[in-house]
Amino acid sequence: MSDIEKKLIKKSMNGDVASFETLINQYQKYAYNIAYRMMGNEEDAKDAAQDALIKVYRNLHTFKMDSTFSTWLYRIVMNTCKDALRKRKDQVVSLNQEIETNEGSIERQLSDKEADPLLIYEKMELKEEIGDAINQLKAQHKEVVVLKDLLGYSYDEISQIVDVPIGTVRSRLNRGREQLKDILKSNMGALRRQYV
Amino acid sequence: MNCDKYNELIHQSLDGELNSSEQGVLDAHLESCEDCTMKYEELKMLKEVLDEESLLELPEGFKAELHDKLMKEDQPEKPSFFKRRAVQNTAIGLVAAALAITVVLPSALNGMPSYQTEDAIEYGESRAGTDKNAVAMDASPAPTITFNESMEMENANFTVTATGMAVEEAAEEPAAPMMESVTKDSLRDESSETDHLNVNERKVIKNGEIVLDITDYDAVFQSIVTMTETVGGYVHSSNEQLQYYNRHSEDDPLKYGFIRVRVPSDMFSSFMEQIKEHGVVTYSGSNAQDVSYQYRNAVSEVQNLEVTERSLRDLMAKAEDIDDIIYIERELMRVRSEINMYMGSIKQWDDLASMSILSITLNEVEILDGEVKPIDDSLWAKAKNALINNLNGLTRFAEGIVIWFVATLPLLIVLGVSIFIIYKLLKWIIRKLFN
Repeated sequence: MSDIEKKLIKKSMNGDVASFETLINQYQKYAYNIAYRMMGNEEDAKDAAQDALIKVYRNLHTFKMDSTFSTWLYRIVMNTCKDALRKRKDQVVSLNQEIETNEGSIERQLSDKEADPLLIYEKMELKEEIGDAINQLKAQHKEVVVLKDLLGYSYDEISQIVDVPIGTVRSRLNRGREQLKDILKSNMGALRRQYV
Repeated sequence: MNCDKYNELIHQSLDGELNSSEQGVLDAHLESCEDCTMKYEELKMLKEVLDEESLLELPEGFKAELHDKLMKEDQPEKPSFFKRRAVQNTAIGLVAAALAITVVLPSALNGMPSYQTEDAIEYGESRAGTDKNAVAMDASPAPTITFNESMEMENANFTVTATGMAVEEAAEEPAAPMMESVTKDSLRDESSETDHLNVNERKVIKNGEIVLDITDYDAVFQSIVTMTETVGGYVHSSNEQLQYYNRHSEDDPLKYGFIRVRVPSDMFSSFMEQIKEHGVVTYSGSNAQDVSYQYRNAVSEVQNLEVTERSLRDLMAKAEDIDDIIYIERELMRVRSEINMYMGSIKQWDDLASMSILSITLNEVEILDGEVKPIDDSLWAKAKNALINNLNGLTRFAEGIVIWFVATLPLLIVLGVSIFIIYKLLKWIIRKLFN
């Protein structure tokens, strides 16, 4: 952590809002993007990101100067999002719920057999659906997929942010990617069938 | 076929984590297993789609909203914080006032410039928490250092006349570079003006330059100022100007500007790195000038000259002939001015070495290059773009017509009215003619 950052943190702890804003300046955009991918829409993302940053401001005194400020900040953002997701009453379509709760359920396997492989779709088509698909992931899978595949953090950093061992990060990531693939396939398949 | 163990390999391969032998094992399996190949290809496609997802920009008003919310937060231990600041300020103010009086009164009473008072003045606003003293200095030509003129100007502000005018001038300076104090008394004590200087460490003058593309000029500017002050530096100069119109919003043209800051040398490199984070760096450079050799030379020159000065003074004491006295006086003045010249350079080097100079050019742009979404080259996209361009052209054309119409309206009205009048006139004339 740089000297400048340490000084800014100290000043922010004393209530200097301008220093705090300078301190978080380089992290705000990533915080917002994490929130956007977790919450699924811009409005909730904005609220979650701002709430998280205010929590960071309030809890600066609990931050130990030895670890990295950014991973601490992103952890707060992640936890804020997960809390908000829990509070939110998800209006999930029953088909998707079955996919989520019954891993490898008959329902999904059936749709697997019917669904065309992802490869027949244009990347553009997939990109349109990717946001929804990510949204349907369970929180613990969503967070690692977002941090690794969307935002490009390393296994090490993710392990620190989410506070689980690297092995767990890997297995959650693999599971998350496969679930995402299956969700995408059934979504695209469903879309295609609409136009047939 | 039991493909579970290959599952892990597939994911690792997509992350680029397999060495060549592990990759070979996977490839061998993929050649014979259609399901795994399908899975691999699909996951690969998925990863590409995810990779190409770009970051969103912060929504409008995000920072402003956050700012409002932060301001509503309880300030921790406000009373004691304020008390400390206020007490510090009043204490410094009182000290400054007391010193001002002690400088002004004696000379006012004597009516003569006094060379014997210590010209040491403190001011408030000591962000770095150190004392800053003003120095008596004649304008001294400095050796080849960049920013020569600006340094001389700063030094000129510190010219002290013992009538106390220096106090006002000095007090107006917001945050001055650190300078050593000079006491003329010390000359008589056989000690040197250079005693307090450290000639053994290297004197390195660091300069840096950064050119940045940024998206929010005011925010970045403010952030730079805050950061500078945080590390104990100060803003040397700045200017800004407007660029051509931003075609997306006529009332918000892009800015272009320049800010030069001075920060303590030990913070210089980390400070530069922090500044670079604010946007896309299109140019960055730095250099360091080692003036230790010249510095040491200057110091030893001063010491030599002081020896000469002392012997001259001794001579002066013994001299009786008027011609001799005049001659010695002239020599003394010459030596003294040489000493001052070297001391001037020394102080400048001290100042430049302790506070590095960073010049930052800020160029406001609409979108930063690093964040432009990947160009979609497909036929559909090209057609779409061409269509949009044409539509824009049409809109502009239509807008042009409307504007022309509105602009010419008064003229049209006048024309219309006059035509109407002429028409009526003609009818009346014709009627008259045929009646």
